[in-house]
Amino acid sequence: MTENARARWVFWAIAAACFAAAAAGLLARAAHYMADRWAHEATGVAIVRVLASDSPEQLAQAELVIAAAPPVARADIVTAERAAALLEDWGGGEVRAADLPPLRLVEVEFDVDAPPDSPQRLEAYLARRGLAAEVIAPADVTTLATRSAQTMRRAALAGAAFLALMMAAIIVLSARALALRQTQLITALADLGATGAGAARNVGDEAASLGLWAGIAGAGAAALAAFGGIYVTQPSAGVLDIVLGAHWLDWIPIIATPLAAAALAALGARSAASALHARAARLA
Amino acid sequence: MNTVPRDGLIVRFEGVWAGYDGPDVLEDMEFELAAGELAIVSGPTAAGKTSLIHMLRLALPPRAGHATVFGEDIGRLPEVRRAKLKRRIGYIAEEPVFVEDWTTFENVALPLKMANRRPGDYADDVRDLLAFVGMAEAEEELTRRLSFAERRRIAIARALAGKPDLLLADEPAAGQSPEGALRTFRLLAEICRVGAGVVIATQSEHLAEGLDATHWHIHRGRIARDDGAYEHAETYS
Repeated sequence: MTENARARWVFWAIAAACFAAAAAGLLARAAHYMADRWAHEATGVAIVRVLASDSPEQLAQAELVIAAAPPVARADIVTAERAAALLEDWGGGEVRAADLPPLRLVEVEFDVDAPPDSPQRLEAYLARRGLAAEVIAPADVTTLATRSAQTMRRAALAGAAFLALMMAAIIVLSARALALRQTQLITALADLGATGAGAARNVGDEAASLGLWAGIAGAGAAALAAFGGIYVTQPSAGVLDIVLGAHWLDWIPIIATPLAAAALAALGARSAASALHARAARLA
Repeated sequence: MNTVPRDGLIVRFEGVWAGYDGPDVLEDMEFELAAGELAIVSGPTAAGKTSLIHMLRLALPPRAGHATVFGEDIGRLPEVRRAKLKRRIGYIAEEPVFVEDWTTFENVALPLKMANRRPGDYADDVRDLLAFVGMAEAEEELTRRLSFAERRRIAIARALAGKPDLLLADEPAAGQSPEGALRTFRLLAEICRVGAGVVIATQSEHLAEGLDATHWHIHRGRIARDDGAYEHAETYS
C-alpha cells in the first residue's frame, strides 16, 4: 500500500471515530433534554388547595394570584365537572358533579425550566401575597422523578465520555500507525540533522492537519444526522429554528471533536516519530 | 550568523577519544580541517571512518580530548546549540535513505522544508542542485525508480540543499562503477570552491588522485596525516 493510500485509510478511520464521538455527544445532549422533559412531566404539576375561600369569587381571585406566581405557567380551577371526570377515570364508577362538595382546588402547571422545589417556592410566594393556601405535590414522586432524570443525564454523559475516550484511543493509534510507516522520512530527517523534537514536530503537524480535516468531516456528518433527526421528529421546525434554538452546549460535540482529533492525531504521530528518530539516530 | 574561526579551521580534534556503548573506537585523534579544504580519510573496513564521520556530524560525542567544530566545543554543546550547528553540516550516508514515494525534487527539497522555506522560494535552488549533480531530467522521477548511482547523486544534492559549511560523505564510491565513483568524487571536490570544508571517508583513496586534497589514514581507531605514500603498515605497527 502506498503512503497516500495509507493516509486515506487513516483519514477515514479518524473521520469515523469523530462521527461516533460527536454523535455520542449529541445523543447525550438529546438524553439531557428527554430527561428534562420527563422530569417536568412528572414534577411540573401540583394542586393548590386554597384555604378560607368559600365563595367562587374568592377562588377566582386566588386563581389570578396563583397564575401570576413566577414558576407557574398555567393555573386552572378544578371545577366539579373536572373533578368528577378525574374520579371516574380513577375509580371507574359514575360520579355526579352535583354530588361533590366545593373543592377549592387550583390545578397548576409549572414552567418548563422551573426548579424541582417549585411547589415550596409557590407556597412561600402565596404566603407573602397573603393567600392562605397549601401546595400539594407528591414528594416521593417528585424526588424519584428528579433523581431518575439526573441518573439518566449522568448515564448519557458517562456513556458519551466513555465512547469519546475509545474514539480518542483509536485516533491516537491510527495516527501513530501512520507515523510508524514513515520510517524513511524520519530517518532522512535524522540524517539531515533534525533533532527528535524537530522530526516529531514535522510529522506531528501533518498528522494534526489530517486529524482536523477528518474531524470536520466526521463531526459535520454527525451534525447533519442530528439535524435530520430533529427535522424528522419535529417537521414544523425550520432549519433556522433548530440552529437558533440550540443551547451553546449542544455545539460543543461538533466544535470540540475536530480540535480534539487534531490534537490527538498530533500526539500519536509525535510519539511514534520520537521513537523512530531515536532508532534512526542510533549509531552503533 | 555562520562564522568560521579566525584560524580558518572549521574542525579541530586534539587527543580525542570516542566510542559507543563498549570500548573506545576512536583513540587519541588529531584531526583538522580548514574552510575550503577537501580531506580524504581512507582506511580498511571497521577502521573507524564512519565513527569519525558520526563525530563530525555531532551524532557521536567525544569521551575525552578537545573537539571543536566551527569553534564550538562539541563535547559541551547544549542541545539547542547542537541543533543549530547541525544545520551547517551536510551528510551523505553510506546508504542514503529517501522517502521512496517522493519525487527526487521533493527529497532534495526536504532540508529546505525543514528550514520552513516556502516551495516558491526554493524551487529554482532545487532545480539548480539537480542540474549540478546531473539529474535535472529526473526532477519528477520517483526516488524508488532511481539506480544506485543516481541515488548517490541525489543524496549529494540533498546534502547541499542546506548550503552546508561542512560536507561529510561516507563511502560515496561504494557500489558505483569506476566512472560513477570518479564523477562523485569530483562533484564533492567542487564544493570546496565555495568555501565549504569537505570530508570523504573511503576505502577507495585512489579515486582522489589528482584532486587537491589532504589525505588522512585511519586504522584501528587511530588517524594520521598521510603525506602521499599509501603504505600504512609501519605507521600503526
